[in-house]
Amino acid sequence: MTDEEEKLRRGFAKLKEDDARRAPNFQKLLEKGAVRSARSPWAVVVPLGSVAAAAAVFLLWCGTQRMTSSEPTAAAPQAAASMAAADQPALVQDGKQAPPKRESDPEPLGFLLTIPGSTAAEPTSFLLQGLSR
Amino acid sequence: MEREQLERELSQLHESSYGWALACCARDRDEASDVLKDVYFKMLSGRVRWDGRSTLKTFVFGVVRLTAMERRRWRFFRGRVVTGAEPDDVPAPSAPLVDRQTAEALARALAKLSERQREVLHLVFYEGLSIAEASVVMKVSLGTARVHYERGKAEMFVMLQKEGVTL
Repeated sequence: MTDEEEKLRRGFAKLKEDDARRAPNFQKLLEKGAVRSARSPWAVVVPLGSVAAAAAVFLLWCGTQRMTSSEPTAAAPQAAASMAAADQPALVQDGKQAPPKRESDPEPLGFLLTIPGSTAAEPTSFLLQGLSR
Repeated sequence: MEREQLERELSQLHESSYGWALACCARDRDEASDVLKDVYFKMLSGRVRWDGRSTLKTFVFGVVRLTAMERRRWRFFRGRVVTGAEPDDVPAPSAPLVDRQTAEALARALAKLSERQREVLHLVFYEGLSIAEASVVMKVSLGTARVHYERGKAEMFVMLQKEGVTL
């Protein structure tokens, strides 16, 4: 033990004597009993917090449900207007009419299905014509 | 253990328990008394039972420490903060003046230390435990207890020197 530690030990011995003189009487403490329940505060906070969280989630869910149910009625006129606007020719900013839209090909890859030469006269058709004469 | 026997054992440990309660309550004497009341009530009513795995003293010290923590939490939730207590104005009876002044200076310095430092210094110098035994009571590793011990000791000397107290 170092010298410092020995000094501290002596100091603490004095403190211990002082505390012993001022210690409350054991029997008096027993008679008074527990001052008040030292129940953990978490026993109150945790249930209250979980109930509040559940209520918040429920309210949020109710709000979400209400929004989804009201969306089609509110959005319908807007959708119709946007469709009508699409039919009208678009205007450019200086008031001039925009060039008409190019009609879209309903079957852009249809040419891949056509058989080459199917639209021209078949090679044996003149023979058939000659025979018929 | 029968109630009467337990009461006798607690009575023998009373002064040490009070000293430990003071260390756990930042040297607040009223709070330490209330903590001890709760501890005795818990033990004698059977709410906490000593199973004999450790010594009764270690067990009582553990209950004191936990009870002091519970009460601190309650105070936190109620918004009442108890700072480190100043020593009582009423002098202890039949104490030499120099010893009393030293004890009060030491108590003031202890109240300013961190909780862990105060606990380890109390257990080592007040109760005469080794640092290893103190670490068991404090439920920390031996290395952690050593660090708190060294730092607490150094801070203690600085504070006592500032006050001009020689031990």
